Formats: sequence, C-alpha cells, structure tokens
Amino acid sequence: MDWNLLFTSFENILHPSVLLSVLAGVTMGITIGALPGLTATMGVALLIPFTFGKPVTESLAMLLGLYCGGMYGGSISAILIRTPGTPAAAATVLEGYPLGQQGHAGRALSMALFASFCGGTIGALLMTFLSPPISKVALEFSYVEYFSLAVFGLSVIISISGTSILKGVIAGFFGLLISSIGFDPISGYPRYTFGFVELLEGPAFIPTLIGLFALSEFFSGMEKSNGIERIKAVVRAFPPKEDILVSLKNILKSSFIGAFIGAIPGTGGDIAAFVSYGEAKRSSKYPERFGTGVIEGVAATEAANNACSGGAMIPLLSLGVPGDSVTAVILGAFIIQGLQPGPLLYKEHIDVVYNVFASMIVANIVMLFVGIIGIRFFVRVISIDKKILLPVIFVLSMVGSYAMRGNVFDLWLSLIFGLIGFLMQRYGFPLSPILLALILGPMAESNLRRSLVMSNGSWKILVSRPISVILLCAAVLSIGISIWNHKRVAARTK
Amino acid sequence: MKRWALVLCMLLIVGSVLSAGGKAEKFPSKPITAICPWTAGGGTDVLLRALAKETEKFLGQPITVVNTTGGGGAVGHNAIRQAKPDGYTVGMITFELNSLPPQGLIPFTYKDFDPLMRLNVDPPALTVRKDSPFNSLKDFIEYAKAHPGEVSIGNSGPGSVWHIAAGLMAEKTGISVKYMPFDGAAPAVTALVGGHLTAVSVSVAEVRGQVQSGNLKILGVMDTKRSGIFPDVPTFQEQGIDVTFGTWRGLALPKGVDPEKRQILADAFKKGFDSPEFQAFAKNAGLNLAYQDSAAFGEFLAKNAADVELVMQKLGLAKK
Amino acid sequence: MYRYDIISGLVFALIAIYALITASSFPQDHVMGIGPNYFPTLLSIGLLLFSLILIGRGVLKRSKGKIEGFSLKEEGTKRLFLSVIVAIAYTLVLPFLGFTLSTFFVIAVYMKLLGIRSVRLLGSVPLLVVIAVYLLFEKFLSIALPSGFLKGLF
Repeated sequence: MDWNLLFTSFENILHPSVLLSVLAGVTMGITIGALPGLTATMGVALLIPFTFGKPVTESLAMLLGLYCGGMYGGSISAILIRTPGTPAAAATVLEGYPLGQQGHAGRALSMALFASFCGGTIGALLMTFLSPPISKVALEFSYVEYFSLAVFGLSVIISISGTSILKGVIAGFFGLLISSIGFDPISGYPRYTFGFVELLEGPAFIPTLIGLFALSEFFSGMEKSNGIERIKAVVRAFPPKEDILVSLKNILKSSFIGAFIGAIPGTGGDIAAFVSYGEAKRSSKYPERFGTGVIEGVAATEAANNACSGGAMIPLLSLGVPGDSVTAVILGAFIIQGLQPGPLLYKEHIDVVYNVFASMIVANIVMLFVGIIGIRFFVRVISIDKKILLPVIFVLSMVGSYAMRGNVFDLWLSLIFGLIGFLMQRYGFPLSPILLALILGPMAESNLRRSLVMSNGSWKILVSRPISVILLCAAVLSIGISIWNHKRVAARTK
Repeated sequence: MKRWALVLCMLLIVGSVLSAGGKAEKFPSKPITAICPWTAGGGTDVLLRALAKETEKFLGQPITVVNTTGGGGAVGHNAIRQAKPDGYTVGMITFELNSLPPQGLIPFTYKDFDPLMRLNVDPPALTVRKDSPFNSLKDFIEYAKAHPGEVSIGNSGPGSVWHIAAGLMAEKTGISVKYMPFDGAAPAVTALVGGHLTAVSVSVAEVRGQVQSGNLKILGVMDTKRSGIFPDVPTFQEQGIDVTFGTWRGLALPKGVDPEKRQILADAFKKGFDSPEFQAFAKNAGLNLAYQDSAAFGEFLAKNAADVELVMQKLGLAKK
Repeated sequence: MYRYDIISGLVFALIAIYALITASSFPQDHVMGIGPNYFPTLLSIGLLLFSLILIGRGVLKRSKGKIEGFSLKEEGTKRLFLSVIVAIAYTLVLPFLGFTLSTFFVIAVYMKLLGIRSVRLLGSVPLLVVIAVYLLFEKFLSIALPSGFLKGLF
C-alpha cells in the first residue's frame, strides 16, 4: 500500500471539477436506481458516451458515483412503493415495504441510506486493501463452485417463504421452471418459447421483476383502494440510535458477505442481498418477526448490495475480469480510455488504480449527503393520495419495462407477470422465491451441466473441490435451520 | 374532465399537422434513429454510439441509439428490417444475422436488408494459459489427437460465432474436443485464467488484457494476416492450418430507402468513420476496422452466409 | 379457504404436467445423459410433487392462512377487472398512439376509476406525469419511448 499515492489520489478526487462529476454521477445514480426498470448497469451504459474525450479521473469518478448511487437508489422505491428500483433491492422489499406501510418510511429510508453508506465504504476499503488475495480466491471458482453457490443461494428460499414453506417451495420451483425458458445454456436448444423470438433468451429479467412486484401491487391497490387512509411519514435523515445499535452487527457481517459475493465474477448485488437477508434472519433472536418490518432486514440487504459494488471492482482492477454486470460495462469505459484493467494496470497506471479507490470512497460520502438531502423529498411519496400514486406507478412500471430492451413484447410480459404475481399473492404464495429462482436458476443449470461435461457425466465432481463441499454443506445447514426456525415460529404464533 | 382532455387532444393534433405539413425539405430534417440489436454497454453498442457521435456532426442532425435486444440478436435485426424505409432509421447488423437463419430461429436473412457499410471484422484466436505446455498450434493439435475428448475449449455461447470458430478448427484438423459454452466471452476468459479450461476460441480483443498482463498466450489467429496488437503471433495459415474466420459488424438500412437519402447517410457515416476521434476510439478498443462500401459489403455478406451455414451443418448446429 | 389451495395446487400441477410433456420432446444428449430436457424435467417433477401435497392439504382441510375469494358483487373486484382491461388496452394502443397520448389517457382513466372527480386534477396530473417522464427518459437519458403516429413531432 502506497500511502503517499493514496493521499495524492484523494487530492485529485477532491478537486472541484472531479467532485462535481462525482456529485452528478451520484445524483443521476440515485434517480436512475429509484426508477423501476432503470438499473445501475443501464445508467453506466448510457453515461459512457458522455465520457468520450473527457479526462480519465473525471469520467471514472462519475461512473463510479453513478454505480454507488444506483445501488442505494433501488431501495427508495422498494421501501415506498414495493417496487425494487434495481434487482439488487428486491430483498429490501421484504422488510422495507412493511415498515413504510406502518408509517416508518423515514426510519426505513434513513437506515437504507446509513447501511448503504457503511456497506459501500467497507466494500471500498476491502477493495483498496485486500484486492490481490480476494481476487485469488475468486479465480478458484470454477463451474463446480458456481453450481454449489447457486444451490446455497436457492436454500434461502425457505427463509423468505413467509407463512407457508410449502407455498414458498412451489413458488421457487415455478420460478426455476420459468428460468428454463429460452436457449438451453449448453446446447442452445430453444425451450418453452411458444414461438416467440423475444423469449429465446428467456423472459427479460427487468420486465418480469417489475411485473411480479410493481404491477401486482398496482392491481391489488386497484382492488382495495377504498378506505385506504393516507400513510403519515416522519422525515428523518439519520436512523434512531436504537436502530443503529440493533443493526450494527448485521451491517458489518453483510458488508463482508456482499463484498465477497461481489468479488466472484458473474454474481451481483441481488444474490448478495438475499444471502445476507437469510443470514440476518438465521442469526436473529426473533426470526418470526421477519417479513413484518424488521429494521435489521433493511440494514442487512442494503449494506450487502452496496458492499457488492466495491467487491465487484476487485476482480475488475486486479484481474481485468468484471465482477458483476455494472463492472462489465465499466470495463468498457476503461478500454475506451485506453486503459486495460488487470495486473498491467497496477504496473503501468497505478495512479489510476488509486484514483479508483479514492473515487469509490468519496462517492460513498457524497451519496450520504445527497441521500440526507433527498430523503425529505422521497419520503413524501408515501403520503401521496393512492388515487394519484397508483396510476403513476402503473405508468412508471410500463415505461421501465419498455426501456430496457425497447420492445413492446416486454410490456405484455410485464403485464402477464403482474397478473401472475397478483393472483399468487392473493392465494398466499410469496413472490420473492420466484425472483431468487429466476436469478439463480440459469446459474445452477449451466454450471451443473458444464461440470458434468468436464467430468464426462460423473456427479462426483461436485464434491471434488473443497469450496464446493463447504457451500453444499452450508446449503443443507441453511435449509435445516430455516425449517427449524419456521417450526418455532409456528409454535409461537399458535 | 372531458373538456380538458379534448382541448389537449386538439392541441396535439393541430401541432402534429402543422409540423408534418408545409416544408418538403432536405434530408435529414429530423433526428436519425440507430437500432442496436445488442444491449447498452456491450461492444457493439459502444462501437455504434462512438460512430454515431462522430457522424452527427456531418449529418447535421442528432443520432439516437436505440437498443432493441433479445432473442440472440433476432429481435433487433427484425426491428431494423421492419423499420419505415424513410432513411430515418439505420441499424447495426452483426454476424448473428448469418448464424441465426441456419438454426431456423429467424425467418429472414441478410437479403432482407440493404447493406450500407461494413465497419469491422474481428478474427478469433486460440488462446491458452501462459503456463500451459503448448507453444504452438502443432503442440496443441498433437496433444488433442493423442487425448481425444480431453481438451476443453471455451466460447461465448452455444451456436455463437466463437463456438463455430472452434468447431471449424476441430473439423479442419480432425481433433475431438469439448466445447464449453459460456454466457459471453468474458466468463470464458475468466474460467481459462482460473485454470478451469484448456483454451478459449474468442477474439483477440477479448483476450488482449489477459495476454498483455501475462496470464494467457495466443497460439494462433484465424485471419489472413497477423493481428495489429500482437504482430508476433502467427496466423493459423502460417502454421499450416488453412482456416480463416471472423465476426463482423456493419450498418444496414431496411429495404426500399430512396438512393439519394442512402447516399447522404453513407457519406456522413463514412466521414464519421474516418474522423480521427473514431479511429482513436477503435484503436483503444482493439477493434479491427475493416471498411467496405455497400456493394462490397453485400458480396461479403453473401459469401459469409454460405460459409457459416456450411460449418453449422457440419457441426450439427443447423436445423436440417 | 381449503378450496383455494386445491385450485392453486391444481393450476401448478397442470403447469408442471405441461412442462413435463413438452420437455419429453426436447432432444436428448446421449453422450452425457443430461441434455436440454434434464433440468426442466427435474423441476416439473418437483413442482408436481409439491402441488400434489398442497392439494392433499386442501382436501384434508389442513391449509394454513386466510384467503379471500373474488366476488363480482364487490366494488373492488369490479374495479380490478376494469383496471386489467384498461392495462391491456393501453398496451395494445401504445405502439400506434405513441407514449404521450396513450399515457395521458391511461392515467386519467385510472384516476377516474379510483374515484377522482375533480376535472382540474384529471387534466393536470396526467399532463405533468407525461411531461416529466418524457423529459426524463427522452431528453435526459435519451431512451426512446414509443412515438406512434406522432413520430418526429417532438
């Protein structure tokens, strides 16, 4: 660690013009993140052409600011209108939305901001100081480990099932089946496409997500809009002391989980958030209260998905391999600037590496300030008359579904999943398991099949590597504990 | 309520009539839409956006890039084909336009487009780990022959351009290998760096970073000439294997655009292509620019389509 | 209440059976024994199994939780059906009418459905939303929205 260089980089980043870029990036990121359908990935992609011909430090600072802001922004709509602004905020809905509905939107939003800031900063610090060793572990992940990681992630389904594990598992299987729509990942055979080319790559993720959560909520709002009183909202910039104290352990733990999952190429904030949520529930003294608005749940998911940003930068910088979908786009931005991330960047442009470290940390601080100012405006959304809010949610959902692929088909997709989501929820099926299955299903299948291709069909390959064995054991353990916890809940509520 | 809506509606209609009628003016008089069949932030998208940004100056109108994606490129290509042929929509067409029809996935071919210009052609390379025992294609092929089915070659997806490239090589040399498809080139390269594959058959640009930083080495390039980035690496032909292949990207219009408008677009995009800014961008991105005008691009497309279909049939990727 | 578990169980069981039958027509991979059909088959068997358990629970009247059915007599249910129809209509006309016009109307219609009578609100809210979304997406983010027959006007 070259401390001198680190201080110089902070000097570079704190230069007014660079700071302004960070500020612009963060603000744009929060806006994009909060809007359903617009993800940090898309924001970065849209911003890249504006960085052509701009100085390296400024462009990277702006993109990283957007990345951090976008990760936080997703939680705003998750808490207020039950629509995860980005997939990474889907787990935040579980606790954040009930909190908002109970009049605690201010508490939930300020905790999301605080946890995002802590997680983001811890992620950035891990990136600054531990990049080489973490990236080494990340490279150890072959298809075998990816499969086991997916199985471990899927085991969280049990803990997000709500009142009925059986219905949660059914929702999970249904989601996995949906995820098998489209090209088979190994042979390329198109499955269950019903003749639509648009389904060849599977149902587009963002419209599906919007349909399941936002539109289903819209329909249920339309059904029971009579007699809904306005929800009061208390503005607060900082979470109350008790909330911080009770969440601190979860924030720390989730930040490490998030940064590590982020560092594994091909995984992202969505997986990190769900895994952290499962862990927060597992280790809680009152797992039965989860799902009804537990502040630690918000803290865990938001710390995890923001820590993931720092984590995902680790393999990008030290190996030249993107850690998630956003960093894949950021890789493009580096290349356009004539920089090739990887060991060579450390040799030839160490100053750029340190600037990235500094930008990431500064971006999180800027995010905290923008967020504090913003919360007072965001929180009012929840008090808007439902009669006006519902139609606006509908329009934003439709526009968000369209924007990703510029395709009217996706509007239909979103609508269909909106109805599926609405009906399933009406009949007591939880929706988050579907989402988790959609994220992890393709990862599980493709890597299982790659493993079997490598082993010539022998299943023993799955227990031939230590990390894989650990993950599979963890999955079994997690399922066992969740079922046991659930029994306890059932016993208590009787 | 009705009154308000009505007044607004009237205003909008009057507005549209006013702006539509009147001037029969010179082309282009409004912004151009450029359809990209691949996601924002990907290689194709960045290339198109860079080119659009430089071309705007010469066209005098802004160019909006629209990402219409899905179906392995099928949806976007279809959107270009079905766009109104008024010259205000151009599209980026890519290699998949020739590899999707043999698989029976799209009901149209390159013939349904009006090619404007070819932009780049990127050849694949056979890349292995730096510490692998292979130092030339000959080593690799001899080993693969002696150990059939043991060597694994990663590519960017089933039926993708690099899958076909690996198949072409195996077919020409008579070796039997495992094809390992990934979701894009980057994860395949990562798996190779992690030591979970024997080789990858993706483009030079996609392995450049790892080769320069000393993790990987290239055994051969499937091009007629050596790569500009790695002039020391011999081609397949030089090593006695007569295989050339590559992915390409180009601009196309829907059929039926007025030739005059077409010429204006072609000239403007050519100027954008030649601009020092775009050339610098392409150099940074490691793109192998290979301009062809409309006529030459058309001939190239025909030959490429025939070649690709033949290979895919041999590999069992084509629908019979 | 038991009824609803049986119904939803049946729906998922039917989906599973459909998936199972379709999967049997996928080409098999004889080399590895695990081809495109393998995963979907496994998943549909799982779905079928658990749906049957759900049905069984319903039949044995051991369902958990409270569920209310739909009744067309209720105001809310009527509004729900109407809102689904409006949503479908909106998606149908969007490509032709374009984003601005169809969105203006759909917001107004939904607000009316929800019981807003003030003409001023019915006019101003949709207008403001359309302008805000348009500026944000088209101008600020340069993401094209469907323009319909008004293409080139804005």
